[in-house]
Amino acid sequence: MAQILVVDDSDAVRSEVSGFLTGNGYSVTTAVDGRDGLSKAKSDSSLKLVFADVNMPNMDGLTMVEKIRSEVNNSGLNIIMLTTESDASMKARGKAAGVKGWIVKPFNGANVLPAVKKMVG
Amino acid sequence: MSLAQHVSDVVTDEQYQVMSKVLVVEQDADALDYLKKFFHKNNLIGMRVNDDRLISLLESNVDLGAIFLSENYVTDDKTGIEFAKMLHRTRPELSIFLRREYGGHVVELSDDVQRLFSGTYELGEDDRLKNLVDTFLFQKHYPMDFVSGVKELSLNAMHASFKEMDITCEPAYLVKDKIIFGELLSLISLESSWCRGYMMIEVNEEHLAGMIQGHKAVCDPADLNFRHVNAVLGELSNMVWGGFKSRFISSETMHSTGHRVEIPIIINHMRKYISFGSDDPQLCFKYTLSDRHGKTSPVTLVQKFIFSLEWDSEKFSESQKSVDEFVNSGDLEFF
Repeated sequence: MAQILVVDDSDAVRSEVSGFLTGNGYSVTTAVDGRDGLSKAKSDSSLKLVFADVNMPNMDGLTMVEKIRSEVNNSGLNIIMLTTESDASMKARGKAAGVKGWIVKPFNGANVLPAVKKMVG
Repeated sequence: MSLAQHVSDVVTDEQYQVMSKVLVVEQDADALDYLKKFFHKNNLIGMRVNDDRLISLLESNVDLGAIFLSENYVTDDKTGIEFAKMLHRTRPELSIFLRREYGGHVVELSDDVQRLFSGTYELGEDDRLKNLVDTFLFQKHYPMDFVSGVKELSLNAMHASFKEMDITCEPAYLVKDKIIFGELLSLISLESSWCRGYMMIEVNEEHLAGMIQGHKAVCDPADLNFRHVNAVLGELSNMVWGGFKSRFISSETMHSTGHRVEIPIIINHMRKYISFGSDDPQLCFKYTLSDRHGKTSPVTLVQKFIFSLEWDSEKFSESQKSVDEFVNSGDLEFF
């Protein structure tokens, strides 16, 4: 059972983010796109936090978030988008779907760690 | 040090003028002197090469914009026109400008021969030659804001992707080459109300792998294979693309989704050749990434912008008024 799910089609980003979180004592699982992410969010009710990219094949990150909110029974699940997108309309869509935070890449672990501690413990 | 501090603060018109490298096939000292001055005035960089290396250079060079050839160029076995046929056969995408000496009487070139050239000129015909260069090489205008912005956002993405590297960028230049640099390339489409096309980043796979192996990339080098190298280039391209969108494209200026022209991209792996279906010059930036501690070999990244489907520099300038302020990457924004 993992605490954090990292969803990104980039092997390099999955490796970087999960490596940082694991190094800080968190249990992490990864998914390669939105479809995979949705499936893992459905099957693991212990998840407390999701980091998700926006632009991914098969299912984009925002669609995945909307589906997680409507199809997954995990009200304590926090979601942070980690993406190259900074468009205001995309952020608004994420906010409406219940995204808690937005990071424009690159991933800076030190900047994110306090929020992770607050959300996951 | 913040990412922005990595990028030079000094911005001058000259620094962001777009150049082009051209091949000069000339023997006449007066003509060489004339071309040197003309090139200096018109943002061209002339390159000369020995006859015996000409074809090998043409087969491998990825940086060329055009060829300046003299009709009177001769070697032991070829005349200027025979050279033109060979150059055209080897690299048909490169414009050839032929220098002629009319000497009071014009000898017409046959149709077959004329077809080899984008145009002809005589020494002293500055306006005619400039018109040829503008028509066949500098036909697209790239505003300084665009050139400097691309360079800055790309450097930021590279500094975020690679650790402890000094990164330099040559002045932007135009190429008509269709030869692929290195073995690995990424390709991503760019689309707005003022542009449609692609960004391509090319790199030597072995050099990039060496950088990852030397712990200079953000990913873990354990069990390194070519897929990891692909992923690093992919993520760099993604970040440059994101930076491009943030900096230049507002949601209000996105292209309409009506009928759109598409052109197939042709790639010939064996010949390291890629065509976007247009002979228009591509805007090129060449970056060199050097390890500050000298432990890994330098890596060259060649970034090309191919606006083969649409480019409108006036609309670009107008649209920049509505683009949001540059975002702070890496920060967590809470909702």
